[in-house]
Amino acid sequence: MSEFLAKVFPNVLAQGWTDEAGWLTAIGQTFYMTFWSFLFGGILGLLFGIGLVLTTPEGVYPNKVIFNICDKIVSFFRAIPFIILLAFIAPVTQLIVHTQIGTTAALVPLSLGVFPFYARQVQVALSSVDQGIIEAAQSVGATFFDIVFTVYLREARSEIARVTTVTLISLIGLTAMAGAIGAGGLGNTAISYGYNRFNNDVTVVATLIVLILVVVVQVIGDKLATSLNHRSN
Amino acid sequence: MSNSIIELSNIKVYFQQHQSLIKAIDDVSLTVDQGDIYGVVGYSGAGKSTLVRVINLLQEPTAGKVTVNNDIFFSKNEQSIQRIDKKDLRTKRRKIGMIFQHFNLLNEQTAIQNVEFALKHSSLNEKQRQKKAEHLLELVDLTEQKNHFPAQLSGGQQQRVAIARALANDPEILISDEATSALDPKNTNQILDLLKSLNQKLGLTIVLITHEMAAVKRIANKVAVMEQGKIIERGNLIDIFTNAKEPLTQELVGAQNASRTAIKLLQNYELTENEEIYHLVYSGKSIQEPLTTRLFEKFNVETSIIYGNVDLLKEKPIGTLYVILHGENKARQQAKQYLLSHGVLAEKLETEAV
Ligand SMILES: Nc1ncnc2c1ncn2[C@@H]1O[C@H](COP(=O)(O)OP(=O)(O)O)[C@@H](O)[C@H]1O
Ligand SMILES: [Mg+2]
Repeated sequence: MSEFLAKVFPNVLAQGWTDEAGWLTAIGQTFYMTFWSFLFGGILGLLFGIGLVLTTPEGVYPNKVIFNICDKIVSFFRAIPFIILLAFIAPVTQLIVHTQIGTTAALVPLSLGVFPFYARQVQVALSSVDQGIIEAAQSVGATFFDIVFTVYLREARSEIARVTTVTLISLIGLTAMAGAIGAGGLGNTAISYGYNRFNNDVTVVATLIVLILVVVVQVIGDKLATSLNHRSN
Repeated sequence: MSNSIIELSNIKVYFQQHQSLIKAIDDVSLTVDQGDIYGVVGYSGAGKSTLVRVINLLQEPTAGKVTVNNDIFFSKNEQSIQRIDKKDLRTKRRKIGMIFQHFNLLNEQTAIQNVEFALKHSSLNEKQRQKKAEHLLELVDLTEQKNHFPAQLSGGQQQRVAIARALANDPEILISDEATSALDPKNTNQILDLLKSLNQKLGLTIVLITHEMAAVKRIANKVAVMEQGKIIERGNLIDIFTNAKEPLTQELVGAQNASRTAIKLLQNYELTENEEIYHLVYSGKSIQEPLTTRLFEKFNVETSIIYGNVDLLKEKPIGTLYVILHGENKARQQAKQYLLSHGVLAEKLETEAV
């Protein structure tokens, strides 16, 4: 078996497991980046998404100023290609994590890269909640928190699960680019150790692992979205 | 004044849309008394929903005064504006239940959770809230379905959950905005009868918005007819049904159809000088009297029935007749007086109109 592997994937095993270039190291870095930037970017995106839906002129708490500020910020960050954002945001990264390179440094641009995407997705998801349901909630004296949590977030939870899945998958894609600032990860393995060194077997295996990750996220996400949906039978 | 529970005075609701100003409500005043079932009818776009949303300030008016239960919710004129405090409004809204055409239940919550949601800010503890929600679902006959999600319930059942939710905080007023418009006739009647019994048992005041005259006919005691943001006619149910003045009202109550049918039937008929066509409306006691026989015995006036119809208004029969009275001029006048004195609305139809 290992003989066969050594023949077909001569360079894969040479990468090792836990060295700087090892497979487990790369997988760990990808998880690390995905998890933390998803947490920060996700919270930021959720807040902006909720803010946008509540303060739009047709919203429950219309507020032109807040809406425009949120809207402009989201549009601005969405407009910047991620690879440029990596460089563009470097001074801010320095300020926050005191370094501009490495896995932790990548969290800043990753979070900022994913949050506008998620904010728009959340905005769309929450907008799917029927205006009539919100009105009915108001008619029984619902408070701000009732409307945000029990009405918007609870009613749209299946949609939110769906857009979160989409966001998570696109975030895994973004982490692959973070190799450009020395953040490591599977994308970096595929490019630096595979493509650049003509080790095609490394590229293929790194890609396969990313693919498996994406499929797992997709399957779990779909299951979750379905089980959270009671709107139709 | 003493027993009025909702008072809308000179309400205007204007929407600025692009360059044009939409006058959704154009200077409407409406008083609803304690215990009324007040029907508000009119075609789609007339402003019915906007008007009732003003009652609990889901829609803030452009101008006017909103008083509910002697609390001034909102008052605005050229000089000043006065608004109820936001927190106060939330509390008071709980005393105004509301049900809707599309039920508007929380889809991700079960029937009982939907009712409990309305009780969230009540002074009851969790146990008591659950108990009250169960009791309310029992009232609308949904005990068995309490753990069902809305999607698992029929339209009629969903509307009953919505009614239970609307009643959760023991409201004095229930606003029903086209609540039966998405239901089949059987469920419609069930819901209407439920509303009626709530009105009788709990003294609930109901504002019943609908475009279906049948709903109003079944349970309302007063009616307002809306057209283009204005109330064009209002009155007691029986007056509106038997004596509508406005063409739209006549159309809605079907009076035009009846008179059109009568006119059609008379197209080839030449009236002699001793004949007149009358439109008679009778209800209550007069329905039991052999009036046509009396007219003949007393005044020697004969009655030919051209067209007739009996309707049920709140389960009371109302008869409409188009007749030709044959007899001397004086006798006919006496006959008319006799009918009027016996509670029959008798109105001569002009021959030109025929
Ligand atoms: N939020 C709004 N913005 C602009 N126009 C509105 C709004 N709400 C209602 N309208 C307009 O006001 C009019 C009355 O609407 P509505 O009260 O819903 O009528 P109804 O309930 O009798 O069908 C319609 O012309 C409608 O388009
Ligand atoms: Mg309407």
